[in-house]
Order: sequence, then C-alpha cells, then structure tokens
Amino acid sequence: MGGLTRRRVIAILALTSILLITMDLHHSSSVSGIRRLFGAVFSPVEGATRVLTTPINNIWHGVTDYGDVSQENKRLKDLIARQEGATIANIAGVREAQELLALNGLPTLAGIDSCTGQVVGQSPSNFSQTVEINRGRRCGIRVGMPVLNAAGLIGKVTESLDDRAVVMLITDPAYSLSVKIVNKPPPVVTVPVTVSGTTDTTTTTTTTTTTTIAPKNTISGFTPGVTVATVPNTSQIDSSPDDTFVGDIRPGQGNASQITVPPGANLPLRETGALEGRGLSRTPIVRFIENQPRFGAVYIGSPIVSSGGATSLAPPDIVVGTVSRIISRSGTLGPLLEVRVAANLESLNFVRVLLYQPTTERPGAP
Amino acid sequence: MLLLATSSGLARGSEVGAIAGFAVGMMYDLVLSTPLGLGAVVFALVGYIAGSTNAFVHEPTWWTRMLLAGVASGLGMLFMPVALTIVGREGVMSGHIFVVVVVVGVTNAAAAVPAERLCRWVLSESSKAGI
Repeated sequence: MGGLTRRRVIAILALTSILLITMDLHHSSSVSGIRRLFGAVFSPVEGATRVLTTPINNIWHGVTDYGDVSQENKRLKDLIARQEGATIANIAGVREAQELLALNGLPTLAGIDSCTGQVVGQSPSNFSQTVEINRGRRCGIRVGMPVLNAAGLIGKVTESLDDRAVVMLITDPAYSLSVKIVNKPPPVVTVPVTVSGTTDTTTTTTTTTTTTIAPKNTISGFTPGVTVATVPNTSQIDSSPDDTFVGDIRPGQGNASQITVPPGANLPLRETGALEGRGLSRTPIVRFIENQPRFGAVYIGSPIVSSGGATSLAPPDIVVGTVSRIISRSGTLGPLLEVRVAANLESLNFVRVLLYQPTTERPGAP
Repeated sequence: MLLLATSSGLARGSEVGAIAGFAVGMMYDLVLSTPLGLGAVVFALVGYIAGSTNAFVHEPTWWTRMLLAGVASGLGMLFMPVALTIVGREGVMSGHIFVVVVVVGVTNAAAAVPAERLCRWVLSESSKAGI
C-alpha cells in the first residue's frame, strides 16, 4: 500500500514537471505570470537576505582579497590617469560620428533612451550566466533589450519584473548576436605600369584626396547632403608631389599608367558574423564569417561591434570586443574567431539598459 | 538548494525527499531562467535517490550520510545539464561540469549533517502540525 502511494506521488511529481516544462517551452502566458508573481512576492525576502549576507560576504572578501584589491586600486588609478586624455579625444570623435549618422538619417545610440541600473545579484546556477539588476518594467525595461556598461555590450534582458530584471550575459550558451568585424584594409600592392611600350615596376603610394562638391560646411570634414568621393590617388614616385587629380584621365597622358580603384577601397573592411556564447570560463566565438578575398585575413585585435538591423537584438556599432584568436577551417566554412569581450563580466556594477526592443522580442512578433 | 533536497531525503525517506526536492526545484526554476519544472524534476530525483539509498544502509552513521549527500548532490549536478540538453539548451555539456560536480559534492557532504538535522526537525514539526 505504502509502495503504491509512493509510486503515485512520484508519478504525479513527474507528470507535473513534464506538464510545466511543456507549457514553459511553448511560452505559456500563465507560466510567465507565475514567474512574475513569484518574483514580486520573493523580492522582499531576497532583499532582506541580501542585507544580511552582504556584510558576511564583504568580511570574507576583505580578509582574502585585501592585497589584490589594494594592488588593483593602484593599477586602476594609473590607468585612469593615462586614459583621461584619450577619453576626451574619443568623446569628441564619437560626438562627431553621431552627428554624421544623425544627419544621414542613420540610427545612432545617441537617439536611444536608456535606463541605468546596478547589478545586485549574480546567477546562483552553474549552468547559466546571468546577473540581476535593480531596475525593471517601471524604468521601461522589457525582455530583449541590450545591456551595456562603460566598456561595451554585456548581454540582454531575459526577464523583467517591476523593479528587477535578469540579464543574460554574452558568455551564456543561449546568447547569440549578429556582429561586424572591422578589418584593416588590404595592403597596398605593387602595380606594373607600362610607359611607351616598356614595362616598369613602380611602387604605388596611396594618398587620399577628398573632393567635396559643395563648399558649405558646418562640421569639420563633412558636408551634409553631398556625395563625398574618396578616391585613392596613384602617383608615380618620380612625379611631383602636387601631381594629384580626381576624375578622368589627364589629357596628354597615356591611359596605361592609370588604375581604376573603386571609391572606398581604403576604408576599413567589414564582415558580418554571429557571436555565440560558450558558457562559463570560455570566450565567445564568431561564426559564419565568409572567406571573402576582399575582406582578407582577419587580424588579431580587430574590433567587433554589433551589426544592427531590423531583427538584430542590439542597435548597430555597440562595442563587443576584439578578436583574440583565429581558428582556421577548411573549405568555405570560414574561420572561427574567439572574442575577447571588452567588458569585464566578472566585476559588473553599474550597467545601462538601452530602451531598444528588437522586433523579434516585441509582443505578437512571429 | 540541492543540499535541502538531499537532506530531506536522508532525514525522512525517498517520498518526502522527492516532494521536498520538487518544491525546492520549483523555487529554483521560478527565480532562474531554466524551464519551469526542469529543476523541480531533477531535484525531486535527487531527493528520491538520497532517501532510497539511505534506506538500504544498515545503521547509517554520520559519515555514511555525508557520503550519500555528496554522491546524490554530485549526481544532481550531472542530471541538470543532461536535462537542459534534452529540452534543447546547448553548450551546457562541457568538461567544466566535472569540476562543478566535485565542488558541489564535497561542499554538500561537508554541510550534510547539520542540514539533515535541520530538515529532520522542520519536517517532523510539519508532520505534527498535520501538513
């Protein structure tokens, strides 16, 4: 009799679990409601527990990590001193770039509102990389919104309650994002030039001549609404320094020495791929990079930024990290790139949630 | 959380261990982003295993309880990524699991005796109250 009751209990528990898993995997609204309700009810308990355990945690870290923290503090002070100058220059550059993007009607981060929150909890699980922040729906945060700190992208919101949100980090195996890899332009090549029937080899030097068609200019280096033709100027070594021109072949000179180079050939090359997390203690990777000859070899240290787009989880040009390792693969698979994430995910404090909800995460999206 | 499920099984047998594990696992799922019910079924299994293996031990001592708690917790840490993989979560099966298994097993074994006493006391109070 006892055995029968036990079997019934086990069977009921197993069936309940299967039912709940099925409902959750089909994104049942009742399951989401239960989660939200539990989050609201459990929030005071969580807060009280945090108040009690934080001093103990701090004492432990104070005892075990004091030396490291002291050294790190000195190192960071040095780092701040070095970076202050660079930051000012970068802010000016970023502002100018955002003005350019805005004038051309392109999406910029400056046009997206954000909500700043503080990380109040780490993931208690060994199998998911999430953090909890102290801002939620009341601040406008919704599921799917990108989260970044001062260094770059850190993840996306996976759960949003009234005053709490769970952020999945970009190292989580379930995280994926469309990214761009900004590569260096291909190196300048030696171009054979034929003059008067003889073949000579001349080193081509590439300089850039920017022709602005309209003289009106409000931003340094930029004229709104005007095509900016950036044409690499090829000149022979023995020619005069001011021997630069743009456009058709110069009258009186043979066309054998002219090389047509498409505009923008010396701009940094970009290629898209998919960034995927690989779990704890493993760096994320970028897949599906096409092996295009023009893109050339990927360089270690090349920056990786979000690519944006209607279905992307993040707006374009958010810094993700740099290429730390390149794993070559045969055939047309293209290389795998290991990513050194710009943000330090182990010591997150203040983070910024961009109030940008991708179309795929909106209610009623397919 | 896993220690509570294991200790409940050790203190009051497999049936109570399974129910306690289910409740604890459900709370785990509600807080985390794991599919609701997945942690519950894994923790219920761990509570059941801890309770049923303890029943086979003749005159269990403190160290057999520690050993059983460590083994059951380690198994739970193995079951969890397997269950996650079954429901379609990728990337959780890696060599890092074995480190997690060892750390969780040793930690829970160390804390098993006081946790089991706590669970024995809590569950006996519950049964007296008719819950």
